[in-house]
Amino acid sequence: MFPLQRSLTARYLLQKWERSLLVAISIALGIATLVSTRLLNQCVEAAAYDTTIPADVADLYVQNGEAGVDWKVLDDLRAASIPGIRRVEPFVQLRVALPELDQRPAVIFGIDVEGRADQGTPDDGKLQLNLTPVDNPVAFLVWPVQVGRPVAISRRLYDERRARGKGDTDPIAIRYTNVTETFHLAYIIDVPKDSPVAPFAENLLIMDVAQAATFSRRPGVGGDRVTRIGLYVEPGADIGAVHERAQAVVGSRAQVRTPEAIRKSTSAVVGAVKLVLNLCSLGALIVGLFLVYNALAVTVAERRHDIGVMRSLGATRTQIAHLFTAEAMFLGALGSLPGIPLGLWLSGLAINQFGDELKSSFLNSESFRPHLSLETGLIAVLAGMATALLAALVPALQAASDEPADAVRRAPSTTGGTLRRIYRVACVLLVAGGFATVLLRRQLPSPTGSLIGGSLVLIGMFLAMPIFVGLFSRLFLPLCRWSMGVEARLAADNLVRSPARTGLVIGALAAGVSLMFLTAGVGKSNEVPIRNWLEEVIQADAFVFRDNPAAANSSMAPMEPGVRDQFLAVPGVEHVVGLKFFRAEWRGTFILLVAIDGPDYRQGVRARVPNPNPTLDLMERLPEGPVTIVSDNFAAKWGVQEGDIVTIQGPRGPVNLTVIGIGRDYSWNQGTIFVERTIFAELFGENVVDGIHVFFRKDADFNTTYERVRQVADREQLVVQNRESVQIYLVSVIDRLFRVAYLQQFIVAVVAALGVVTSLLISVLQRRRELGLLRAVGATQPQVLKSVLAEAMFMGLIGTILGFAQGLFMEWYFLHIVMREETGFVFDLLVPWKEALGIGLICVLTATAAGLIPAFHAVRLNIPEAIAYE
Amino acid sequence: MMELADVTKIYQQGSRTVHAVRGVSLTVTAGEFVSIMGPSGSGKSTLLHLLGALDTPTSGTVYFQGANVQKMSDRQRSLLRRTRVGFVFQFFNLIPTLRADENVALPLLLGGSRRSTALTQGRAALDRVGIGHRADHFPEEMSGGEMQRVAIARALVGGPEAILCDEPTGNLDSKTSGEILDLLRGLPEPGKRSLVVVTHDRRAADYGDRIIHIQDGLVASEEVVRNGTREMISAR
Repeated sequence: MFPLQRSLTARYLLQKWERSLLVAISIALGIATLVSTRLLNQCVEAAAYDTTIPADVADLYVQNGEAGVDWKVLDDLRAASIPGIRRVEPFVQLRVALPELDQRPAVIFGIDVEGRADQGTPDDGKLQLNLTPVDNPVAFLVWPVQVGRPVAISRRLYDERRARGKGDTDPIAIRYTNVTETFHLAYIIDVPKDSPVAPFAENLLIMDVAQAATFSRRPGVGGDRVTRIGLYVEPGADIGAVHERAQAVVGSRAQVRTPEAIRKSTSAVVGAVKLVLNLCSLGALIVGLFLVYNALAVTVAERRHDIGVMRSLGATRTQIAHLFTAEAMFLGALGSLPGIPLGLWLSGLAINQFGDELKSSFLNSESFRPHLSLETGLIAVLAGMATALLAALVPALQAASDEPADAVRRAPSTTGGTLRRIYRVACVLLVAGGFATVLLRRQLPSPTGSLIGGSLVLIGMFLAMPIFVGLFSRLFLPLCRWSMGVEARLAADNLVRSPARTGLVIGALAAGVSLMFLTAGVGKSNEVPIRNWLEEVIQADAFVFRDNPAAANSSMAPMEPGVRDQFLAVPGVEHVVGLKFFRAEWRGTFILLVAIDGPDYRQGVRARVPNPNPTLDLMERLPEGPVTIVSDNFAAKWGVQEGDIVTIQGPRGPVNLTVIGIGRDYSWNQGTIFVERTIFAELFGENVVDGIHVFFRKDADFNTTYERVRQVADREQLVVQNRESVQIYLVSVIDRLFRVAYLQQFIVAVVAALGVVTSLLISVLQRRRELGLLRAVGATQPQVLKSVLAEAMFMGLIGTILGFAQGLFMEWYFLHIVMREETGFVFDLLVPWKEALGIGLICVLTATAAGLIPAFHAVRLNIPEAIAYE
Repeated sequence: MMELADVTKIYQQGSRTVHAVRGVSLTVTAGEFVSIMGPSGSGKSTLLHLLGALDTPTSGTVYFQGANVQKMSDRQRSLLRRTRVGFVFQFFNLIPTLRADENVALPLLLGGSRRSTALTQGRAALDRVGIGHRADHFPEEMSGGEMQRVAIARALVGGPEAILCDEPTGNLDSKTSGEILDLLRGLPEPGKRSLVVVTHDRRAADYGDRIIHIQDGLVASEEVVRNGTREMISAR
């Protein structure tokens, strides 16, 4: 099978194993980024879906964001008896902790257990729950008074309790906010792998929905609120009509949506994150693609004579083209295989960086275990082969189109003209198309226009790199030739002579440098103002959370409002500021609503910061009524001004807030609005708090007061931290974010470095005769070594300079176009001089080090053979 | 069987225009041994490439067994080179990554033969040229003469109607050259297989039945063997 490939391809690849290995490694790294990105996207999407619609089994959902749905809506829907609706079921989801299992996070699903008795199995058995009853008579004891509070727990939790000596009749302690209540074990839940609740199986508790709603302590008009109401439609009913009628009953109190609409909306929210991740991985794949192209192009050039011989023996053009494409696809498949496990490891590494934050922000932290499916593996292998095939197309066509006589005679090829023209046109089209997309970005969904347009421009510029290198070399290298020794002059001449070979490699180096420059620049431009802002707003002496700082702004770990009063009673404490974080749906995305004790906060900060942000004084006005202070990025992104009305969906319908001021705030990229906490509690029926800032009196002894606060926190099973540790934590979040970005760019840089090695190995081969002649006329081995290393160093230097130029442009573009459009944030462009110096040094040293292997090849040349080589 | 009719070949070498062949007409009949002689740059190699459909003329017509080669598609010309013409080059032009038997079998592999069948035929061809014992060796392990025998075996393996040799002894010492020329002399089959050898070496040229002298892209003169002696025919 494949006799030609076995004889020609396999033998050639084995003989040139170093080059084949380098090509395969380039592909492996590109595939690793693709796999890790895909896995991360899957995790983010799964976690987002699991948080938005866990246990998705209904045909329609009545939801109201974080505000929840009033019980009266449920009553009204049932009373309306809408034709086509078979069942109306409330559902509650709660994130709780289990004190008996070291405060382990768990999830409560409240389902309509009573409805089960009337109407058959709830959810028509779609949840696929297997409930095994336990012998615990207390669980259902209702006479003479309601004693039993039955709950079902997952098999895993049950086994762990048993392992700790807990029996079936022992009460189960469940903590929500900082209050622990006891329940009674009634069932053990076994969840099959294909059940909709399978993602939660490890930490699942199920109870009756009314009991869960009461436990969540979110009073509504008609009773406690539920998370959502599921509508089950009769088979064959017109779901559109049902949808309309249900919405008419619900009115402005909530929204009726299909699961698809909810998923689409969730996708839109995580879409920007996915797009950025995808673009980063595409970048690595493209860099790998061009390096593979480079290697294959030179392979074709090297084997041109062999190709001529084969053509003279009767090989057709198609056979020649197939030979090279098959070779490339084999290398692509070979490179993909190690890329897959590497990608899995990279995704795990990225997730570990944000373990606490992810667990705190999403309902199901188990979603963040990357799972490699057969589909992902196949896609990875196909992507590797496709990348290599794409890279091989042009060289293969060039090889096939050469006239056999020219190839045999080693005469210059006459077929390159058309391809060169196509290449130039492609560069121009990409750059022009990219700019056009950027200019028309407002007509495209955000941030597609700005990100894709920018990417097209960058790809076009990257493709055009050989042209830039040729120009650059011609302009600056004569200076090098004049001022440097013969070794450097020969190296410079070689660069000028073959910009096509070196251009793409230098382009890859420049791409790596520019990405790192972009990250450093954006990081510095963000970090400086954000640090300054944090120093201004994080002014309290102590900070109290239920779990950890990561959970503080996620609303997944609330505390009872009563603890605030306990801290206020501590001697030495002057102000206690409660904060509630609420994610409000807004124009297809989510904004952050911060409910805060405005006047207390203002007084606390004013006493510590001599010239605070002028908007701080407006915090005194927050208790006036339904008013809000909005962040500057909210105002810029959504076109909101002072005096405008911002309408947010509340539990009883829309809530109108009048904008009284605009202030600097970097809490959320879609914008933040501030409301007085007590007014929020009144309008939204939510009086729990997610964080507490404690300000001490100036004359109080800090350590003594802090210790007292800590004792209160311990009593309530809360966590307390001081200002310094909170600021350090917040800055570390930013650092970790950039660390993940640097990791991807490091891969691009490694791929580029591999390209330098490949390119120089080829250079040594092409310069064999010249280097042999050098040695024949008296050059020493160190001199030959220096010449090759000089070429490597020049490649690094040119790559660095071009990379800085590109990186600066990219930083400006990202800050002033992409970020401004996507978030409304406006950051001044700060040039990361220190980091740039480090990046440049690393690039030049890496390129020079990459030249070592080819340099040693060069010094080991056999002089007579090298001179005789044709 | 092979004919060039008023053929011209012009190509560009950088900014220079080279008139390699200028209006040459010649015929090679089946079974004939023709030598083409001329100094370096006279256009003799170009003539050979045109005869073997390795190159296309700028003007004029090339015929192979009566068929117009220019009217053939590239695929048809490739097939011609694979099955009906065999090439032997000065610098052997063996694929360095293939063994001797694989190099010889290459035209058969290109034609879609099974590997085992192709290698068997390849080894048979090597035996025929007296080098069967080197079948498993790579070109870098062989001498110049051995490599040229492998190249000749490769040219023969498909049973071609014409064998075209471009300076087959140009890279060999005199003793080996003689051996190769003796080998080549046995190749033409009257009425079946022709042999055309391009050379600048008079001794090699004398092996042919007819010697065509090329100068500056034109046929300067011809020598034919009649009644055991060479007679010069004046240039056209």
